[in-house]
Amino acid sequence: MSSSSERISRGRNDDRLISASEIAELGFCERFVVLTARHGRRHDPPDVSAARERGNRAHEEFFNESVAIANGQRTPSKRPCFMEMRVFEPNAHELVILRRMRDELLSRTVLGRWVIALYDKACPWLVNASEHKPAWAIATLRRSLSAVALLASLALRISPGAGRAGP
Amino acid sequence: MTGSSFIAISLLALILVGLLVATRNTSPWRHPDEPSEWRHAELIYAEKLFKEPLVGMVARIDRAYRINGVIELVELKTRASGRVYASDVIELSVQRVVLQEKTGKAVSRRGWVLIEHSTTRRRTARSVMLYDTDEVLRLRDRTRQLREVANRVTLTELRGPSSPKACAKCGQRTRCTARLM
Repeated sequence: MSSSSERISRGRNDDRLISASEIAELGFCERFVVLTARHGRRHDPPDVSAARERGNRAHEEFFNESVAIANGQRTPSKRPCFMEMRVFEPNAHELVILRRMRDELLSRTVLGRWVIALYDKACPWLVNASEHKPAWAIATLRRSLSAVALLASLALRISPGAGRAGP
Repeated sequence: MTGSSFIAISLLALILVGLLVATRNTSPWRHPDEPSEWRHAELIYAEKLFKEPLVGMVARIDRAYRINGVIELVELKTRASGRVYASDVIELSVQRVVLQEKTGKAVSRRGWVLIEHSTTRRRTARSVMLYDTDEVLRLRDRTRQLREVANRVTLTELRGPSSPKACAKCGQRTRCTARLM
């Protein structure tokens, strides 16, 4: 009986790579796999060709959507982050923890996702409103959020100093 | 405005915005085409080809998200029914093995089949449990074996489709003598 790693290594001896879609055809019909190996895919019936064309167009649109999603993903230049712009330094360890808290804790629950949306919507206002605020007010917020980050690091089991930039 | 009143107004604004969001008819994460799991996911691959000679397989990934730190794969299909077929699960399973071997990153056993209706174009996402690596390698070996014996094997010896209806849409139906038996 061969182990998984031994079975994987057998792929090295085969120059021809098999595609995922070719292997997937096994799930449809073994006869189809054999007939395709014998005759190829030329001269597909018109309905099959039309379906393939439709699929290709859908994939093209899907890819364009993916590009749009990637371009629209949150970046500091597109969506101001209040904590990053006013409270902490851009590379602060607390920001890393708070982002992980957002992605790994808050985003898993409905309530947490509401909190994330609330923060996202409030950020532009907070950034503008805090522009000329006294330093002690920002410092109070920083201490409060640092405490939240500390609790989050415990919940996430992150070492308090892990990932801290600089010496 | 003093610092304390700024903090108080900030908190009040957060509560007001929360109420505004909460009273909307639809959730901000709800999209007719996408499951809620994708709303805060990070898109990491789109239409990307991965070749892995180590496993002798190649896979094009339609879309891959990082959801809660784990990569999850999405395969787009266009069809008239909202059904998920065994071939969809196999295709995603192969993609998972190739991506894991190529990048060394963990890929979730949960995958997604996003079915776009061929006429209405409405999309439905269905989550599926993928096959493990051993099962994928077995399927790869079976594919190789069938290709090797393609010119000697009798079609009736081989497994046909799970439903005779599948033959009606098969690209090889005019050549397949087994379906007539």
